[in-house]
Amino acid sequence: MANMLEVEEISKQYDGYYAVSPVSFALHQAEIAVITGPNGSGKTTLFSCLTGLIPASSGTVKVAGFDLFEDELEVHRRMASVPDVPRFYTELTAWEHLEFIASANDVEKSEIESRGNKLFKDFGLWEARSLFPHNYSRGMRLKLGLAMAFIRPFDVLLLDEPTSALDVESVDLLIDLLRRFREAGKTILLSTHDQRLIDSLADRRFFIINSLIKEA
Amino acid sequence: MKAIHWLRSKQEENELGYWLSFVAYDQQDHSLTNKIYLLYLVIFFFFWFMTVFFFFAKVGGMALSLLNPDQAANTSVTIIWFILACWNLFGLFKSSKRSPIVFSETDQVLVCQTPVNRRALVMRWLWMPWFKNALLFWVLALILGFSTAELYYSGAESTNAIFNYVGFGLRALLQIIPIHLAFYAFQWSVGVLRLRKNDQKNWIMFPVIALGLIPLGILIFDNTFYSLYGSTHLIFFMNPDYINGTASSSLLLGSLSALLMLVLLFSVSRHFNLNRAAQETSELEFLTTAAKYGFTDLVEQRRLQNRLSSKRKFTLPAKHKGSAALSWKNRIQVLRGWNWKQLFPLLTVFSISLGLPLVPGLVSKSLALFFLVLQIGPIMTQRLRSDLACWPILQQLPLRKQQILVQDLISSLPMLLAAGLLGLGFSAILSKTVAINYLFIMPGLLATIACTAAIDVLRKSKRDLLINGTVPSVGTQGVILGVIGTVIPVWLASTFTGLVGILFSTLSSLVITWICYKYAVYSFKNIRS
Repeated sequence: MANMLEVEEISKQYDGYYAVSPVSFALHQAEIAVITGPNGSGKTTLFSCLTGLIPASSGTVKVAGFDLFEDELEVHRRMASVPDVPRFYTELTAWEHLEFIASANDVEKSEIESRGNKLFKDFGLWEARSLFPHNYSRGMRLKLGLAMAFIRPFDVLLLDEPTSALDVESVDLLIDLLRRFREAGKTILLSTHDQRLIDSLADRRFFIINSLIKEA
Repeated sequence: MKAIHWLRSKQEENELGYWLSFVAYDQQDHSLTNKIYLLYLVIFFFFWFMTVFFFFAKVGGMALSLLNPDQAANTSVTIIWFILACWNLFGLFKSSKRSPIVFSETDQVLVCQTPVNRRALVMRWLWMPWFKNALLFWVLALILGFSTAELYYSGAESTNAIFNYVGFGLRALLQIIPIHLAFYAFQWSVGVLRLRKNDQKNWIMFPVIALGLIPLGILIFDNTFYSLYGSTHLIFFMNPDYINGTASSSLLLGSLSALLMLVLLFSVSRHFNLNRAAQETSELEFLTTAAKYGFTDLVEQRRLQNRLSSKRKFTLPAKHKGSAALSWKNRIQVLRGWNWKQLFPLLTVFSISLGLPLVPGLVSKSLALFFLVLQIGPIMTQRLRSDLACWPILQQLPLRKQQILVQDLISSLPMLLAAGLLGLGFSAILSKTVAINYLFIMPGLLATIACTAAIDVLRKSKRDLLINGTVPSVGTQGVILGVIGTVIPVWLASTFTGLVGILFSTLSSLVITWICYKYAVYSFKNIRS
C-alpha cells in the first residue's frame, strides 16, 4: 500500500534543546497510528511540526507524496487536523465556521447542509449551532473543531488529544467515525492518553518520552 | 481575616507599584540610591503640583470673578457641591445595578468562598477604591481653594501669599475629604444592601435614586444656586468660611457624616453575598486590569464577544467557494464587528484627503500623511490580524498566501477609499480646483498603507505565538514605512503639474504599492518560528 504520510528526520529544537528529537516513520493508506506519552513529552510540538503550524528545525514531511514545505497548498488540500486547543473567529457562529471551512475547500452547498447537519446532530451541537464558539464549553469547542475537520475532504487526518474534553458518548461516536474513515481509506495519526481509543483504533502505536519517539 | 488582610495589602502594594512604575520607581529596590530617588520624586512632584495649582488658580480665579466676584468662596462651594451631588447620583445608580465592591476571578476563588467575616472584609476592601476615586475630588478642591485665594491675593508675590494660597487649598481639601467619604460609604452601603443573603434587591434603585436627587434638588430648586451664591441649606456642610479659617463646624459635621455612613456600611455588611458580588464584577475587573496593562486587543475581543452574545445577529448566506469564502467570512466579520468608534478612521481619511491638496509644503503634507498612516494602518490590517489569531484554521486553508493577503487587506478599502474621494470632492469645492493628481494616487496611497502595515505585522509575527492567538499590532516601523511609501507620490503630485504630474505620481504610487505588496507576501510566506 502507498505511503500517505511520510515523516523523515523531523525534529524541533529550542535554544539547542530538543523538544522533538529526529524522528522518521511512514503511515500507509487506511492506517490509524496512535502516539502516547506523558505530558510535556513533545506530542503537541510534533503535531504542530507535522501540520506546518510551526516550522521543524530539520527533516521533511510528505503527504501523498507532496512536501509540506515545498507544496504547502497541495498538502493542505489533502490533510486535515485538529489541534488540542482549537481557535475560532469571534464574529462567526459555530455553523458559519463549518460553512467557511467547507466552502473554502470547495464542498458543495448541498453536501455542507446534509453532512454538516448530521455531524452537528451527532455531536450534540445542533441546538447550539447559531451560538458563537466563545459561548461554548471546552468539550463543545473541541467537537466543533472535529466537525470542521470532518466536513472537508482529506486523505490524512491529524488529531491532537481529541478526547481530552469529550464525554463518553462523544468518544464512542468519535471511535465510530474514525473507523469509518479508515474503511474509506483515510490515514489517521492521533495523540491520546485515552486507553479506550488506543485499544479500539490503533493499528500502530508510538511512544514519546523525553522527546524521543519509539514504535511499540 | 489575617490572610485576607495580607492578600489585600499585597493587592494595594501591587496597585501602588503599578502607578510608581510610571515614574520608574521600583518598590522592591531598597537601596540608598532608590530612597534618594524617592525623595527627589516627592520634591519634584510637590513643586510640579504647586506650579500646576498656581496656573489653574489664575484661570479659576478669572472664572470665579466672572461668575460672582463678591462671593467667590460661596461659588466654589456650590461648584464642588454640584459636582459631588451629580457624581453621587451616578454612583448610587451604579451601586444599585452592580456591586460597587469589585472582586477579581482570583478573589472569587480565594476570598469569596471562605467563611470570612463580611463586615471586616467590606471595611478592609473600602480604602483603596475610595482613595482612587477621591483623588480627583481632592485635586478639584485644591484648585478651587487656590482659585479663591487668587481673588484675595492676586498679584501678591511675597512668600506669605504662597502660604495663604496653600492654606486656602488645604482647608478646602480638609472639608471635602469627609464629605466625599460619607457619600462613598453610602454608595457602598446601597450596593451591599442590594446583595444581602440570597436576595437581589434590584428595587432598591428607585428609593436610592430618589435619595440621591435630594442634594441635587436642593441645589437646583434653591434660588441661590442660580446666582451662584451657594446653597443656604447645604452651606453648613462645606462652610465657605475657609477664607477666614473658621470652617471647623463644617469639618466636624462632615466628619460626623462620614462616621455615620461608615457605621451604616459596617452594619449592613453582615450578610453581604460575596459570591454574587464576584459574579457581577469579575469580568469588569478582568477588563480593567487587561486595559491597565495594555492588553487592548484582549479587551476589544471580550467587549466584542459580550456585544455579539447580547444582540440579534444578521447573517449573509454562504454561496461562495475557494477564496471567495474568505471574502464572505470577512464581510460577516466587518458587519458584526462594526461600532461607532470605526467612524474616526473614516473621518481622518476624509479630513486628510480634504486638506492634502490644500496645505502648502512637503513638511505639512508629511505630517498629515503620518496621522493618516497612524490611524488607518491598524484598521486595514484588522482582518489579517484576526486571521493570524486563528492560525490553525488559516494554515489549513487550501488558499495561496497572496489570495489570503489580498482578501484581508481589501475588505476595509472600499469604505476608506469612499471617504478619501469624498474628502477630495470637498477639497475641490473649497478650492474651486479639482486635484486630479490626488484623485489618481488615492487608491495607491491607501493600498500602500495597507501593505506596509501588513509587512510590519507579518515581520513581527512568530508562529509559536500565533498558535496561542498572539498577534503583534502595527508598530513604529510600519508607520515609518507607510509614511515613506506615501510621501513620494504626494511629493510628485504636488511638484509636477498637468499630465506629467499625473503620470509621475500615479506610476510611482503603483510601483510602491506593488513593491510593498510583494514584500508583504514574502513576509507572510516566511513567518518566523
